[in-house]
Amino acid sequence: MAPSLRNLTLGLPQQFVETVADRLRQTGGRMSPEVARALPNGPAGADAKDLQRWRTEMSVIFTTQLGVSQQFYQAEQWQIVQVMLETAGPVAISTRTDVLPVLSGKGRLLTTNINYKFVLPRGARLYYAAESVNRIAFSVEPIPWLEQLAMEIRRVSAGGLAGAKEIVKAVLRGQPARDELPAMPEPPPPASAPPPLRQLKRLPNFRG
Amino acid sequence: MTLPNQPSSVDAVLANQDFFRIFQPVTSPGDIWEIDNGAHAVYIGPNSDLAKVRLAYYQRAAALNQQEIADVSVNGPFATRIDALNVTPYQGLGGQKGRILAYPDDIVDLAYERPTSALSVPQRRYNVVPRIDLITALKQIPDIPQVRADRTLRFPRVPFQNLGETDTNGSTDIVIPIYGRRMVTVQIVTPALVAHETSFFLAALQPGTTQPFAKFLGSVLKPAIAVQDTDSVVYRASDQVSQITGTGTTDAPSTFDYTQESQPLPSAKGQADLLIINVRPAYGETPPPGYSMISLFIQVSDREA
Repeated sequence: MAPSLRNLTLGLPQQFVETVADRLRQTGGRMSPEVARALPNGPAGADAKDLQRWRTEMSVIFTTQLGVSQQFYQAEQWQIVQVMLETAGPVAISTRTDVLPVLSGKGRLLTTNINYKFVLPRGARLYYAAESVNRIAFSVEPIPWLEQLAMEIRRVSAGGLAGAKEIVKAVLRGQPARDELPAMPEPPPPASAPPPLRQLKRLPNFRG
Repeated sequence: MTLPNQPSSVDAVLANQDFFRIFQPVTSPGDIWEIDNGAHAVYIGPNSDLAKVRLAYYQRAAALNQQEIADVSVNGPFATRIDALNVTPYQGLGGQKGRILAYPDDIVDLAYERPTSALSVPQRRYNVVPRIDLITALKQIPDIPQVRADRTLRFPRVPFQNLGETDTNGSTDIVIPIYGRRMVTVQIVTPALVAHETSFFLAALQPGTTQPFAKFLGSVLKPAIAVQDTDSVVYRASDQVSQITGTGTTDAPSTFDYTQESQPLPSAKGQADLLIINVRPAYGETPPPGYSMISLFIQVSDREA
């Protein structure tokens, strides 16, 4: 049975939940223009940013023996990346461009048939270094909710800062205007009072 | 980067093969094969005639980044990771890149000719071309069998000629590579009315151009009979060669005089690089004039049975 939205958001500040919901309603899950501009452009033939944002991809990457660091992926969204070397290597991967020489330790040396899983942040690029042709099994899984959370946490933080400024302004004016204060989440309900203590009564003797 | 007419390990990687296999006839004693991909093991394949192959590869940890070598034999695979560093240059070698090269460690003589006297030169000779079967494990280290598959050779019509007292004896030599093999089984089918003498020799090749003498193992003398007949010869490397032992009281050769202090060394037939089978007319048995033919069925094995 799928959990309801109410259960999923239980314990979160109500304003935060509503803000996220409004944001999703406005964008319909699409990338905002400012976010799209901030993201790097994909290489020729790459999927559109919206596709990379939502789609899990699996492929095999063939390294070349050119002896230069090659970029083989750029994340336009937070991604869970898995790479597995299918040949003997040596192949090293890194988010830095200067991975060479392959055995220098500047990148992570992949081990044959050992899966390497990690989270790649938005905007990061992946490079490999190899001196021969190798096969690398490669898959990416988008983490869209993480992007949303990161943006909305920033938005809520900005809102809280604005509210604090209003409070300071009102205090300085000497007229605390309740209506000017931003809406705050409801405080948690108070814990119920324990039952009053009662004196124990002596139980009657069953034998009379 | 692969040399001409050689298989490419890149193709094996692109095809998602577990191994890269070099399975070719050896075309010259100086053949060199190139392996462009790293490997988890390099070992002799099941169909190899060569028993030993030498690898040369770049080793960064070696002094002055020198080339390292490793011998790969049937019972000694190179079962560890070997990196293909096709871009890393050697120091002081003018940009020579570190590559994995393989070449025969066994001595190869594609035109071995058994040294004979002037009157017993074979009229014809057939050298079986040795093959290399070298396997490179591109993925995990497999279970490496330390024995090759038996090789079977069939010669259904081996001709030889009764030339009488000419400058050649009309015989035929068949030269078979048996590097590292320990047992040879030969079946000789003699048709009716054919007389022949089939002799067996072993040759252990030497470096250089001087061909070594072959070691005579024995022969099968077959007189002409009215029906077809079949003989079988089994030769094992550990078979003892007939040798006189004792105190010198035996018959010829009487020059042998062994004492307790100088016992003869154990003498086995041993292993060799080439097996030579010579088929010639049995002159003492009055062979028929002209051409005759026999059939040979030969099997070489890595293990004695």
